[in-house]
Amino acid sequence: MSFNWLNSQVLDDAIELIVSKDSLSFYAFNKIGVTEYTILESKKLSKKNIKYTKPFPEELKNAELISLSSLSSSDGSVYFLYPGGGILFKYLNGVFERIDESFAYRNQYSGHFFEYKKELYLLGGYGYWQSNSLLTKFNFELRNWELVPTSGQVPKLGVNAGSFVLDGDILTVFDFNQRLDDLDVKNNSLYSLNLDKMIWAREGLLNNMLFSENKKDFELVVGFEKSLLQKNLTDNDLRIITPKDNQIKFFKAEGLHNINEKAIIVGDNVVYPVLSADREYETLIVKNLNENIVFINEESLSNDFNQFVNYFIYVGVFCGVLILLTFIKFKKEKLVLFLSENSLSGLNKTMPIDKNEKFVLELLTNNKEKKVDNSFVLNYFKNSEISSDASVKRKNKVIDELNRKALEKFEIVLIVKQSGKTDSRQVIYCLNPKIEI
Amino acid sequence: MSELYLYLAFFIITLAVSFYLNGYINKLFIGNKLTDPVNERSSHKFPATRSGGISIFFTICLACAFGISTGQLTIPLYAILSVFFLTLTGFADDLIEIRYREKLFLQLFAAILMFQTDYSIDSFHGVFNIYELPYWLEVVSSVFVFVVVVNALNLIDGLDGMASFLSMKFFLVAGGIILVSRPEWFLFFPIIISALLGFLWFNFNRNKKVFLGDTGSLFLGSIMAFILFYILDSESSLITDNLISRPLLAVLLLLYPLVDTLRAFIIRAYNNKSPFVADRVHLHHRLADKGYQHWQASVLTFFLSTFILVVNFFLYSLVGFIGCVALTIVLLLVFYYSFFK
Repeated sequence: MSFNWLNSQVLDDAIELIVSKDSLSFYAFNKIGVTEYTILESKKLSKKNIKYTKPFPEELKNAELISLSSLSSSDGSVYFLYPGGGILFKYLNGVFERIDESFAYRNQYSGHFFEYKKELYLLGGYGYWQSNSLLTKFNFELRNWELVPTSGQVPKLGVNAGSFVLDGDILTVFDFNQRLDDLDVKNNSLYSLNLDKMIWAREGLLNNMLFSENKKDFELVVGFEKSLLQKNLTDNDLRIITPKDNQIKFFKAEGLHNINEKAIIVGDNVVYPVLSADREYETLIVKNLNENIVFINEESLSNDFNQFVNYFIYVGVFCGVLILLTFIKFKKEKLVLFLSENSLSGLNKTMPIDKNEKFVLELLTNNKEKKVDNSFVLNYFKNSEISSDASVKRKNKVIDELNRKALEKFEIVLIVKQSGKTDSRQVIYCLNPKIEI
Repeated sequence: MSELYLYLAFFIITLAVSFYLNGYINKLFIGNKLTDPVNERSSHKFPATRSGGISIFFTICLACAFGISTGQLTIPLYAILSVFFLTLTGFADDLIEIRYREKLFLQLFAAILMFQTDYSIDSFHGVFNIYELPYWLEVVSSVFVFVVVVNALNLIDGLDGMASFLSMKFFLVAGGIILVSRPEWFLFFPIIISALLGFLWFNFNRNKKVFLGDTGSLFLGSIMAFILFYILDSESSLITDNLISRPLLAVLLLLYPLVDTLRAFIIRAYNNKSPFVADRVHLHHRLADKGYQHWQASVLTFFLSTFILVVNFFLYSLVGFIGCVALTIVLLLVFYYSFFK
């Protein structure tokens, strides 16, 4: 459904503020009266003009209605809050009147005005050179605003010019400024305020694409159902944020090129008034939102979780490679043992050796190739007092004992036997190539 | 994708610089006879130098200077001042042995400098049902954590690769958090990891062995303390807030240094010894005495502490804070009796 509807040919009747009533109808307010429109299936608007039956409030005579925060209540009334908080107006059955006895507080500019369980609240805002995270509630009996205490992870540096979505008891608050060292600084966290328990919770971090954004770029911010539509009026980009689904959907909205800051959402339609170029007449434009936007892509609202997970995939691979390389390096590396007068030590362990064992080890370590002929070793054990057989046995016993002790202590044999290259019957003793002494 | 290439480029260049500087400064130290004495507590038998810390420091300074000048990296000024101050303290300690009380005083000064970064432990984040802290407790907690972290890393630097592996674990995990919440700081993480890798090569090298020394452990410890301040500051935004409690995360990031230091202090107090006396009561000494080579002990400790961290990440949403603390204690006991006893 898309159509234009000539609203007025007289500028005195120009719409100052439109407020959604339900999924089919909306109000168009100015200082003379209100028009209640209903969108018909025949692509027409039914129109009911109502003149205010009481004088229009003095406080608003010189104010622009668009500057008021408005909301349509479930009881059929429409409430209007004066900028900065305090002064509250109500429209019902042709009467537009002030209903509070408070003063213009002026410390909650850009605060969020909302209704929860038939109570009116104002959250956060800016005033007197600081932001705040005050939650105030309108007391209909006392006709004044009262402070509502909140606890938990309160954004204590203030909630100014934020984005808000109410879903059940949970008010999601994000993309707001806080005051730090006399500067407006963006708070990049996503908060929720449980209105039933009045407890704040920080739900996580916003997608970092929102970090550096200037909030003033989005002249049009419209809440509808459980989402928030944001649009920069100088280009065709539009996005819809749904905190419940942790989702930001981006669209091209060429069909909404002339949309302005007065736009509202009524059911599936976006409604906004447009003045003619010669400012002679005003047209109400009703366009089906879904038919006039083209989906481009989607991002998560909070916790750029994919980036976080991808990072840890890289980290996992890195750790695996690091441990593997360390393992390979040390597997290739020789075991270093230190030979002293009566011991062989290494790996924080010490193995006692006798002088015969030390001699054998020295023979091996002093040789360039770490090899020694059987005959050389045997010469040391030869003794005129014992037979040749006994010498061989002594030599073998020393070498076997060395290997046994080393295997027990260092889990490695020290000396290995090889056959001679020229004569296979010849025995050569070698230091285990994985060992360095 | 272009950012990935940027991080890779910095990683590779820093690795090359670290490798070169570790070799070069080691030679300078040996040339000036600044080698680490071999004594009964030493696990090395060849001459080694304590040049690793200063090499890592210079490597990171060079890489960060390049990163900052090209607009790819920002680092808070007071964090730089505090880290520099403590690194110089460590360097002096390596050369002329500063007395413990003097070193503690200098650490307190560095902690106060770090406190000026606007990041501090200003909340217990719900532990003992405490959130916001009064200012005096904020100062005391921050200074205490700073001193504990800096000294804990110093105390575990007893085996080849131990401090580097556990530091890498810390920086790899913290890097993921910073990547999302403070992307302008993230480049520092590939830089410090590659600087540590360059050092690790020499630390594992038998003939050109290099140690971190007090310079390195105080340098790395003060950086870790800053990151912990950021993690525990109530104003910072962390992606892990939905996954795990901040204080638990902070403890798990430095689990081994904290547990080992606490255990060593308790044993020394039980034996009527000064808690700061140098001895062989650390858990990693037990591993070495059981026949684990240094690299095996380091990799095992890295693996076990990472395993506990990962388990906590996955189970926090199911069992909550108390459940995770109990689980961590059980896992610590199981690992102690399986590997360290």
